Amino acid sequence: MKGTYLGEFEEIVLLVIGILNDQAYGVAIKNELEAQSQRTISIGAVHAATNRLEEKGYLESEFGDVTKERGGKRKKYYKVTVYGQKALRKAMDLRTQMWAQIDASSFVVKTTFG
Amino acid sequence: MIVKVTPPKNALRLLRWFCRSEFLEEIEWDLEELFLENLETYGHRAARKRYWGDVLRHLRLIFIKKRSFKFSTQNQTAMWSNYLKIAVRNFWKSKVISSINVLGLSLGLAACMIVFFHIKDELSYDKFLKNGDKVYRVLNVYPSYDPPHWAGGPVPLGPALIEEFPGIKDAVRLWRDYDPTLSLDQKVFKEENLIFTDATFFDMISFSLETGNPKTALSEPNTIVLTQSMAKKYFGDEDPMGKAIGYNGGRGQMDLKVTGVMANLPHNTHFKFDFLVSFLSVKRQNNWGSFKPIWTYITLNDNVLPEDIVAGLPKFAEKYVPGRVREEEGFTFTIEPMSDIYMKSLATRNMKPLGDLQTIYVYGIVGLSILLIACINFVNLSMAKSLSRSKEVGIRKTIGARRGQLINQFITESGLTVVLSLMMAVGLALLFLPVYNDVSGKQIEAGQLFNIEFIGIALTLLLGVSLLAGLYPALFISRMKSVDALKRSIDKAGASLGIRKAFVVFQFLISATLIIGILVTKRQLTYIYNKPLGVNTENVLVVPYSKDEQVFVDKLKAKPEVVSLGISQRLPVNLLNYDGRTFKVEGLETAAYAQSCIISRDFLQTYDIELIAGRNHFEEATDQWEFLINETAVVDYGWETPEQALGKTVFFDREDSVVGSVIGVFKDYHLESLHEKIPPMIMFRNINEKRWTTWGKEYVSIKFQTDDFPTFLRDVEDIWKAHNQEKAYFSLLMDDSYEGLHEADHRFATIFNYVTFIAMFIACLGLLGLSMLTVGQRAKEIGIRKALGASVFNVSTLLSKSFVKLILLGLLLASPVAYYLMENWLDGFTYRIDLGVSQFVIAFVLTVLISLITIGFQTIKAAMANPVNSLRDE
Repeated sequence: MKGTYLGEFEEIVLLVIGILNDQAYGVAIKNELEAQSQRTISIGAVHAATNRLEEKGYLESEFGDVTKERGGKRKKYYKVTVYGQKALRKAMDLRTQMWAQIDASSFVVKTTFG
Repeated sequence: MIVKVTPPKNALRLLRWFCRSEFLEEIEWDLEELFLENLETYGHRAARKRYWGDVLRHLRLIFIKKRSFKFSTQNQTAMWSNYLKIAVRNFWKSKVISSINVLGLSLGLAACMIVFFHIKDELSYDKFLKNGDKVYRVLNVYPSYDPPHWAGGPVPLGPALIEEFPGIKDAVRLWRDYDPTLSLDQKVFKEENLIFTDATFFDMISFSLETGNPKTALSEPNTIVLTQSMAKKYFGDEDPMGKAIGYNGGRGQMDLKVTGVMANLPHNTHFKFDFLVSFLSVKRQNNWGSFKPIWTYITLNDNVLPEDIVAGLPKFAEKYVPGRVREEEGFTFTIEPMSDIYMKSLATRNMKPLGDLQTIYVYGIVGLSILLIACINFVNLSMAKSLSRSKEVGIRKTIGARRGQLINQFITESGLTVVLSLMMAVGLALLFLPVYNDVSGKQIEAGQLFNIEFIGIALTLLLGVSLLAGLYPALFISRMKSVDALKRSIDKAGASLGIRKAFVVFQFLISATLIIGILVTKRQLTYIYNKPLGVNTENVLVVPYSKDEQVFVDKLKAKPEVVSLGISQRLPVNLLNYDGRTFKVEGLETAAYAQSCIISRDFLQTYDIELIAGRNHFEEATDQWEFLINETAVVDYGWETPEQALGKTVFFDREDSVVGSVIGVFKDYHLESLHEKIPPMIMFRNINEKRWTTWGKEYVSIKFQTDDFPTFLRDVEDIWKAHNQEKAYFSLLMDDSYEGLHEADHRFATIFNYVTFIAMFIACLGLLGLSMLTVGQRAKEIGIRKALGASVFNVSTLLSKSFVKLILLGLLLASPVAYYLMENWLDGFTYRIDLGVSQFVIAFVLTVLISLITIGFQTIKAAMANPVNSLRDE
């Protein structure tokens, strides 16, 4: 198993797959990602991310039913594994914990005159 | 109707090629879905484009297949030795086809090599001279003339340029003296290549002296530098330094002291001389009105651009060529870098004939075409041959040969053939080199074949040709499915048949183009020889002017063989001897220009030059200067009819001591090769022989009529020698002289003949090989046809038909190509033939005939064969 570090893009992909519930396959993930993040994402990037995440054990996948019109090809659906859910939660916890420690005044834009 | 739009196939193919199979299904699905989405939103084109983009975005490490680039650790020697063995066996099995293959390819390669050396040699001209790009040659420009540039100017041009332009560092003049006589003791020779030049010669033009000091060798009057071969000719093994040589020629009579010996000039320079004489030996040096074969070269100061000099030249010309040159005619000088002279100069009248970039291109293209024809043959034959080996391929595949291995095998085989051909090609090139040198007048040595550069090119050719010629058959045959290969189903090879046909068409396109080329060049050259030149050079013998003119002339005229006899300053048919002059003519606002020549009365008769208006000079002596001009001059000076020219006064020199009227107009005759236009000409008689004793007395042209030419020649020589012991004798026939003008065209035609022959030969070899294979493959069919009652004629027509169709197509395509190319070539001649249908028809018939004969043997042999032989095995 490779490192368990969760990158920013990977994290979003995991979240999107969570949102899509049982409808998470390549194009759907791409579209949802684009809708959520307001940026263009290539399908190649999505495939790379999902496959890497699967390799890390954060995702599991299964093929859908064979459809007639696509010449016997199948969709590949993704699901977030328990391990993945843990990793997501861990990442979120880390963030909340860190947010809590930020002194409110340090984020205020200071305007000085003189 | 609903058209189903699919994603670009090639993109999908690419994806499948690089992508690991476990990801493929998912990726393909998603890409297709996106494609369909895009199709609706953006349309067909954009969707395809995006599809491609998406495929390319999957070029990521995690998707890319792991490929094994590792070399096999197994010992493959056995396999390779098997390939070799099979290659050799195959070569011997079909000896004829293999030799056709090797012969064709080696001929093509040899031709290519020779072309390469030719081009290399042409491009090497003057490259050995230092500062070739810093030394410039001065040219004259007469915008209204065609061509407007010519080399060779007035005597004082060089010094005046230095004086007027501070940017010009130095200048040197080279004045070709026309055929002077040099003598040493009893040795008397007529020399063609003597040049008067300034002391700065060796400074500016980087020839070096073997002996003598280049700084001072030509700085004194009456000094001479000779080349080694000339030193040998006059002095043998003695040391020539400090000795005196007698000179007798256009610049008077004097003794010249030898102050240096230089190496013989290499052949690859535009300079041509055997002797250099100091310019200070020339007495009269200030005539601006006369354009002689005096070539002026200049060097510029470091920070001066040639454009700056050119910009100042029109003003300079106006100042120094005064009153002679019309402003609107825009006479001026210009300069060109010395290193460009041989290949790029636009000027006529050079020291020796120059090369020409267009011819280089023609040679290059022709060379490559021949190689291409040879390669096509190779591919065609290998492919056809490999079909008969489909069983071998099938078995190899069944046993487990991978495609790569098969490709290896076939490329190795073609590589071996190419190596063999290359070795033969070097042999052939060595064999042809003397012939080539003879035809082209070049001196390319065999040693040049074995330098690093050449070996590099040979290796490139080797790799290139074996890959090009080997790869296609290799790919093609290794692609066959093993079942098809075993079944020998030739139908599957249908795709390759199309390409093979295209190859044959292309070969015949090239061959037919070349044949048309031959016919056209032949006709143009015949035209040149038969064109009425305006002068009759037949049976005219030329000897040098003789002392005791009257006695000599009377003696000759007393001979029954002599028809007519004329004395002249120059000879027709060679412009270099002429003298371009500008002068004033009555009624013309601007100066007139013409080539001038002083003649005796009988000159016109001797050369059959026809008068179309006015009269010739009177026989009796007269004190009137009288001028004859040619038709071109009439048109040039703006007169409408020749009659209008009569009686007009000509002010020939600046001092107004040569002034007289036009008494006659003669028909144009050619002075130069037919590439050039006829210039305006003026001819007159020297009536003031007291003042200019030998002006205009250089040659005696004798028109004769005899059955015993050798005796006549000897008689003339004896008579001449009786009067001129101290001068060199020579004689020339004017006919030869005219042929010499078109030497370059002749060479071109001869080389072209050889090249076409080779190209046609190679193409026929290919055709022969192909027909052999076709006949072999269709042996059974022929057998059955014959058994069913087909006649020999039926069968041979059937077999030839497919080829003839291809050949005809090739010919058809060749016509526009040939038309374009030959029009281009003919445009180089001012006087040319028009392209006619006949050349094309003859070329077509010839090509078809040659090819029918080539395939005829095979087809008739096959048609005559006993059907039992082809049918019994099975």
